[in-house]
Order: sequence, then C-alpha cells, then structure tokens
Amino acid sequence: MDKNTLMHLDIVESLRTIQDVDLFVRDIDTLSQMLFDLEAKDTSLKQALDLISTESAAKITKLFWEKQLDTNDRTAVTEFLKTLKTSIGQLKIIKLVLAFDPTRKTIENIHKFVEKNIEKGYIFDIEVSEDILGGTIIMFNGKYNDFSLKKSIEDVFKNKREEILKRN
Amino acid sequence: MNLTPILFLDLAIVISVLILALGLACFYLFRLTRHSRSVVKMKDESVKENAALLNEARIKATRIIDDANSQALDIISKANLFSGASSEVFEKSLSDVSSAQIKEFDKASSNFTALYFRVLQDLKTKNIEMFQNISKNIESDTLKELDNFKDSMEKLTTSSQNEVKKKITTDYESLQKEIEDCKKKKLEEVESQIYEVLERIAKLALGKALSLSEHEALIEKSIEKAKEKGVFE
Repeated sequence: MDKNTLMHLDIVESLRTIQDVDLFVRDIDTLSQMLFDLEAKDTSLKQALDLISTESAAKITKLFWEKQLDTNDRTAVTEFLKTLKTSIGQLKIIKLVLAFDPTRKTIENIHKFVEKNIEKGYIFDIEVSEDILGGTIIMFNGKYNDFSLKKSIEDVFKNKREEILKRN
Repeated sequence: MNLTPILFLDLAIVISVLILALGLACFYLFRLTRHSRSVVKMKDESVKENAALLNEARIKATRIIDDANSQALDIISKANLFSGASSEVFEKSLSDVSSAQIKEFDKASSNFTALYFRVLQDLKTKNIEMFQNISKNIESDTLKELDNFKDSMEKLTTSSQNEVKKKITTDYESLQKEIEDCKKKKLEEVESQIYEVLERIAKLALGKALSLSEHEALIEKSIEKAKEKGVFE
C-alpha cells in the first residue's frame, strides 16, 4: 500500500462492501463536480457537502479536519479527493457467495476476521445463494474456491457412498 | 292511191302462190281424212271378227270343262269303291301283323327280363365280392396308415417335446438373465434414490439447522482454508 493509501486508511478502512465503495465514489464525484462546476462557482464546500450522503459528508469533513486541509483552497481539495479516489481504487475485492443475506454486523465480523487473519485493504462483493446451505464460495483474483456446506455434504456422499449404503 | 304496175304484178304473184299453197293443203287434208276413215272401218271389222272367235272359243271351253267334270265324277266314284275294299283288307292285315308283333314283343320282353335279372344277379354277386375286397383293402390300408401316423406322431411329439424343452430352457435362461439384470438395475436405482434422498435430507437438516453464529463460523473457517490454500497471495 502506498503513501496516499496509508494517508487515507481510516476512511478507506470504513468501507466494507462494493456497494459501500460505489456509494462513496459517487458522492466524491458529486462533490468534485459541485466544487468545480463553473456555474456553481460560488457554491461553498458546506453547501456541496449537503448534497451528498450524510455518512460520506461526515467522513470527508472528519478527514479534512484531521489533515487540517484548507477547504477554501479548491485546488487542494480537488487533489485530495482525487487521491482519495485512487486509494479506494486500490482496494482488493473478495467475492463471497453466502447462504443467507448477511446483516451489517455479520459483514463487520467477517471483515474484521479478514483484517486480522489476512490483511487490511479488502472489500467484499457479496452474493446470496441459499443452495449452498452454509459456508461460502470465495472468488479472488480469478480463483474459485467452494467451501460451501453443500459441497462438503456432496463430497462426503461421494467419497463414502458405499459406507453410507451399507449402513442402510 | 296509185299502184305501180310492178308492184301490182308482184302482189298478184304472191296471191297466186298463196292460193296454190292453200289448194295443196286442202287436198292433202282431204286425202288424210279419207285414209283415216278407211282405217277405222277396218278396225271395226277386225273387232267384230275377234268377238265371234272369242264367243266360239268360250263355247268350246265350256263344253270341255263339262266333259272333264263328268269324267272326274266317274273317276271319283270308281275310286271310292276301290278305297272301301282296300281299307278292309288293310285293316285285317294290320290286325294280324299287330297280333304277331305283340306276341313277338312279349316273348322278347320276357327273354330280356330274364337276361336282365340274370345279369343283375351276376353284377350283384360280383359287386358284393368287390366291395368285400375293397373293405378288406381299406381296412388293411387304414391300419397301415394308422401305424405310420402313430409312428410319425410319436416321432413328431418327441421332436416337438425336445424342441419345446430346449426353447423353454433357452427362454428360461434368457429370462433369468433379464430378471437378474432388471433386479440389478432396480437395486441400483433404489440405491441411487436412497442415496439422493439421504443427501437431500442431510442438506435440508444441516442447512436449516445452522444458526447465524454457526454460519459466521463456517464462513470464517472457509476464509481460513482459502488462506491456507494461498488464495489471497
């Protein structure tokens, strides 16, 4: 992870899923457009922040304050937002297929587990398929790994077919 | 009007010629009339002659016919007399001949009947002998045929029994094999179905029995396995 990413790690770390990223990037784009649109030349940063989601606005405001950024310096703000977007682009996506629709808390728990056991800088692309019964199918960097309960049961029945049928 | 002498002369000549011609014509007509009258007169005479001749001929013909009639009557009367005599002779002769013929026929008839009965009797005797012989032949032939038929039937029955036995054995073996195959197939199907049912039950039971924390634990375990496999490297 480069310097820029490290610089914005807190705000980037708050992103958990690809949907979070899409929403945040859309807000950054809206903000950039509002600040540098010639017709909206007189729009203040505060007014521009009101136009994006509250959560995104809070995160960006907090970051400006932490980095002691001059909000009147539109060039600096632009550069900052661009760097932020680049940092978000460096996040790695893990596609997970789950047997249930996860709550925010579950996503948080899984994300924490990944941060702890693998590394920071990952987000999830979650798909729900009840067919897999439990566990998860992980797709990363073009690799497909089925760790679902369905696969486990099928393997058991496949490998121990004779044994199962004898018992019956 | 004055006529010239030449013209007068010419006119006189013409008139004279015309008078001459008229005189010639009258003469010719007179002669023609006289000739016609003579011809008519001749015709009348010949007609009268013909009529006399015809009358004479008619009288002669009548006389001839009368003569012929009288002669015919004589002939007929003579013929009737002759005919009556002849009929009596003929009837007598015919009666004699008929009697003689009847007697001959009776005699011939009785001879023929006797001969007929004798021939019939001979035929009857011969036929009875012949039929007796035929019956015997038929009996012997039939017995022989029956024996042959019996032998053939025995052979055929034995052959058929063998064929049927062989066919039954073959069919039985084939059927037994089919049953074995079917049994094996059905057992395989049943085993497969049992297996599928068990698998389905296991999936349903395990899938629905998991709590949220167990799901999360399974996911974390999956991520660990993926890490171990080097998926995130």
